Amino acid sequence: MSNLPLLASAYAVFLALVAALFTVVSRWQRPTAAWPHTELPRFRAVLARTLLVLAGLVLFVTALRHGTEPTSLASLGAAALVVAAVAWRVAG
Amino acid sequence: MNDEASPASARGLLVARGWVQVTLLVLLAGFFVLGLLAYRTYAASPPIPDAVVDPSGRVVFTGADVREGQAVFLRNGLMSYGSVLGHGAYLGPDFTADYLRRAADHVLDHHGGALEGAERTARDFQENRYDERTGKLETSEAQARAFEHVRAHYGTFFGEPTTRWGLRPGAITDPAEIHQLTAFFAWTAWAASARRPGESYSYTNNWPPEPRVGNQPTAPMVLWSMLSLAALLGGIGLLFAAYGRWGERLGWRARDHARLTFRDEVELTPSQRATTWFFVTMAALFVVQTLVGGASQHYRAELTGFFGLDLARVLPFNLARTWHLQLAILWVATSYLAAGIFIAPLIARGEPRGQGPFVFALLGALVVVVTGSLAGELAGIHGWTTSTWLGNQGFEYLELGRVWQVLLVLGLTFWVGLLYRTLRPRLGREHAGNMPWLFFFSALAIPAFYAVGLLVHHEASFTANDFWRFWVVHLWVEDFLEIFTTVVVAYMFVLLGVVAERVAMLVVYLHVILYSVGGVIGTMHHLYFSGAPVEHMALGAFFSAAEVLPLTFLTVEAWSFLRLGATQEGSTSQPFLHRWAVMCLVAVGFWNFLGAGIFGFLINLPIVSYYEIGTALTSNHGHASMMGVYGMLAVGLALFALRYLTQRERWSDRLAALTFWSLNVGLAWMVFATLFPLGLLQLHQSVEHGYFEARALTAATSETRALVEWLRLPGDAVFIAGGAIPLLLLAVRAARFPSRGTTTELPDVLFTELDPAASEHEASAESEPPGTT
Repeated sequence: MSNLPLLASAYAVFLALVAALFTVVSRWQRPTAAWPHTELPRFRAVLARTLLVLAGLVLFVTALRHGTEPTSLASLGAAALVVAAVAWRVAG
Repeated sequence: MNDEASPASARGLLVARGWVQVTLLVLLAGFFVLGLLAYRTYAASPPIPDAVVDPSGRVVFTGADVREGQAVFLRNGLMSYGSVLGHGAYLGPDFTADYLRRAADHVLDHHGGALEGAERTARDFQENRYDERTGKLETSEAQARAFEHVRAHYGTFFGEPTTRWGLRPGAITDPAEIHQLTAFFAWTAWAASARRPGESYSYTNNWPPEPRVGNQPTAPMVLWSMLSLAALLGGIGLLFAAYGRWGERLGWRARDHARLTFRDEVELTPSQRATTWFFVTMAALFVVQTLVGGASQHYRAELTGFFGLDLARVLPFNLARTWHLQLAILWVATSYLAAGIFIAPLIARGEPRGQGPFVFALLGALVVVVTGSLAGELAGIHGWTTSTWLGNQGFEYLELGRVWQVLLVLGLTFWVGLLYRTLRPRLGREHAGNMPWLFFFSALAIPAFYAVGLLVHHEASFTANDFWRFWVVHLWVEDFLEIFTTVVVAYMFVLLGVVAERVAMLVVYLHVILYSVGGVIGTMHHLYFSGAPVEHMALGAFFSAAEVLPLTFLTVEAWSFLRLGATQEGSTSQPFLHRWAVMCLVAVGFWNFLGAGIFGFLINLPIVSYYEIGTALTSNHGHASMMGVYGMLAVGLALFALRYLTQRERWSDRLAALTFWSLNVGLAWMVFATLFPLGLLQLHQSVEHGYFEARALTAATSETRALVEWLRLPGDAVFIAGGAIPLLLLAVRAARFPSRGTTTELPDVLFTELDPAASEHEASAESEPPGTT
């Protein structure tokens, strides 16, 4: 499939957006009480990090196998930037 | 339900009678409609002709060939390899679509190719030449020749002397069996293309999508897709309106005034102690289930070998898949059985003498059924036996041999008998609508609805079998296991003193009503394309949209549920004993909404299902909901009981935490790395190029798909090594270091109130007369 790098980039961005959504929701629901209120944001944070690692892996593997063309590299690079930005936000 | 009918000393109904009446009404209405649909299934299924003849009168195949072909298909485990009418496994092709494409291409060539013969080919397949009076179906000359052509193809495919297709070498070599198998596929393809008498669509509502025979979406399909969306949106609106109006009375509410301390160690009855071995068995089955799951997944990434080993000689894909599915049901069920046995003495405040040996007898019977059924499936799929009684029945989810199936039903009934034996003194003092009876009724439904699977048998038509099979797959699992779980979880909270009994009952009744409104008739959403008439699709689509409602409600309810934890944590200085058991329930809420709600609804509309059925999007929903909801609940119940069954100093919260996080991270990875994106790729391919292309074995093994499949490996490794194995270690610890103290009389709660005066105020509020709610 020739548009595989584009699809992989789109999917990595989708995963990053889901991770961002988890993080945003957790910040809305800033806990005011004790456990297990405190666990739900943690639950989402772990899932968000899992999705970001997966997004990174998808981009890395696709770049290794299909990253020879400039257009592929451009789409993968742009997606990597989005994933990195979300990762920075989640880590912060 | 009548309070006066109860014994004089019995406790009255704790909630308003309306709850009981509405529950009964919803269940009765649902099963009345299902009864009508059962009749219609038999009355309007595609007929199996006595003989299929060509224009010269020569018999191409007979009805007996079709029936025997179905038996060949099932006992060789091919429903765990590919599918028929969209139902089965997803490595191999859908044999209905496969036959239809191969036959259509042959007929198209016969009629002069795509330019000249397209219309004639479509007409050839659509014309229904079945004569009800003679029982004969006449095919065209071209179709009769196509049958010979496709039979030769299947002869080569199933006779393949190597394991290159993931099947055992020479899976089916007998020409007579190949003829019968092809006849069965041909019959399903006829039902999929010949128009129903008096209608403009086929017996399968034009499924599969195949332009060569003119199969395209039907008007009812689009109409009921739209109406089911409207039902969903309207239902959510009504739900939130109800929640806004009565929200303060619905859902989990903590006993606000109680300050509690939890009993760290409680004396246990002999039957409760025996459940340790159930949990060891359950965790061992879970480990094996994940390992064979990993093996079956590997076939999708690397069809011809397992890291250089020719695994299919020992464990062909269909055997790995069969065991994966059967073990999923068995380990989850084992946990539920154990949880029931563990909770019952707490409800009854003790147990009769001799209960412990009975429970061990049940465990022995369970082990016999598990090992016997797995061995039978091994023997059946390897061709060592053709017996469906001891070997492989082969129906997806009901693969186990008939003898094991009957024994399992008897075992489940014996389990209910054991629960009754323990509960009897308490039941006699309770109104039949109160919690102890709800617990008993929900347990009784488990063998009752599993037993429906006995109506599925090799001689019946595929459509009728599918109707009853989904009573087990959907109704048993998604409705009655869910209800049993709700009751058990509610009882856990009552026993822990976190909620009042009346609040728990309201939650149980509300859940039963919401699940049953959509879930009972919604079972029919599995039968859109199985050959059942169009009303199955209409009612299935409309009511199954309502299945999302309780899941939405659960997300709203999650807040009040979380407040329970916060309340009790704030009211005591000691760490909460059941931290990871309750975290599993939190995860259940998440996966219920994502796996069952979003991923389920994603494939629920008939127009989506038309292109999607049998792709990885179905697996995506299956894994996220089966493991995310029922599996996670089973693990949560195990952690709850194991905490009491293990010596306090030997319990490891770290292992429990590792289990919890690894299962959730592994499952999320499994879903988002492979199943969801792969399903989207297949759906796109199905709409763009055709269903045949999306399900073809060559497509399944393409480089792109293999890459997506390989991506799943890290998540699966985390799931198995970090999730399933630590759970087994926890269970083994409980067996090696059992908690001390045995009793036949138990306290009725697992907590001590530090501030009883404060809760007296609450108790008086709770004792308002029934009917004031």
